[in-house]
Amino acid sequence: MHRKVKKGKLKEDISPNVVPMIDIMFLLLLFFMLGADMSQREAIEISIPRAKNVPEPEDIEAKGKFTLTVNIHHPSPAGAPCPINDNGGICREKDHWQWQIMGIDYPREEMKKQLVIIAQDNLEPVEDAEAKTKLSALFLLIRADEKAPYGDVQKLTEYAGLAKIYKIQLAANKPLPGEK
Amino acid sequence: MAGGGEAEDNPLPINVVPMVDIIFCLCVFFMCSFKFRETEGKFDSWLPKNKGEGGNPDPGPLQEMRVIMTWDQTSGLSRAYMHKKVKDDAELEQCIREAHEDFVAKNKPEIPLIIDGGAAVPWKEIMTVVNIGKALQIKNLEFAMGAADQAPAK
Repeated sequence: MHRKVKKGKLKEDISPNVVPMIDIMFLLLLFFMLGADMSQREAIEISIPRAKNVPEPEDIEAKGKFTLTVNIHHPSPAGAPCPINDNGGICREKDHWQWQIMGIDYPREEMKKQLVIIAQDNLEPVEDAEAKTKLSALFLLIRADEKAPYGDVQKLTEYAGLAKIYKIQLAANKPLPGEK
Repeated sequence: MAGGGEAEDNPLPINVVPMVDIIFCLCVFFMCSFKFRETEGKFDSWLPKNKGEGGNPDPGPLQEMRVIMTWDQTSGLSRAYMHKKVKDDAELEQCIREAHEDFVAKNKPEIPLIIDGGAAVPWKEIMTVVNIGKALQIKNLEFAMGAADQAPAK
């Protein structure tokens, strides 16, 4: 007897197992989500100067202190670009340098008023013997761009002094590995 | 984890393709927005609490270490240590180190390093001098205010 062999389509189930891939994707997702810096929105991305001897943040952080961060930066608005700054030069147009608290740019005089208001809300409990008045307990962190004019930092310091803020901190980055 | 079990055991197979798509999109988003945070420190710089005193009739011999800095668009930065022009950071550091060691030897380590910069000087250059001062462990660092933008004496 001749046996007829049925010629059927040879179906091979070669669906890849995606489960390990999903596992890895989840881990990657978790890593990037947790690593994303959603905090510190007050510290905008500016190129602050590098200093080898700047103390590590852990060494100087004290619990319970209130720090006000002021950024001195050169924004590049789409409507009014600054060719000097955009080409990596040092811009000295006074109006181009902005002072910012919590994402809001304030004009100089307005910043002066803001500092007084914020400082008054954070006074030290006792009168200072030397100053014969209550000074502000606030720490003022100046985060100035490395190209910012020193005059702006001086002016801001002067305003801080007028607002009775005397604890000034100057932000600097540690040099990158291999950098001088 | 998500593994384990035979496919036939599951009466309701779930189509994971849309989920994988979304995870891919999320992964790409977070990967693109990811940035390694740099170590950012702070130099403490307390302002004087008193209002200062009037003119001192007899200031005595000059006891300070003063770095004068100016900047303009054409000539760039010029720096002088006590009216002696300096070329680079190394020379400036050498001048300050010698003066500081001299004051320490005279039992006057409190003599301040005064940074006298013009308003147009880039902030980075001021911080370079602060960094030198910190490296040499000079306790008194002072910032002169209201300096005019004049070229230092040659």
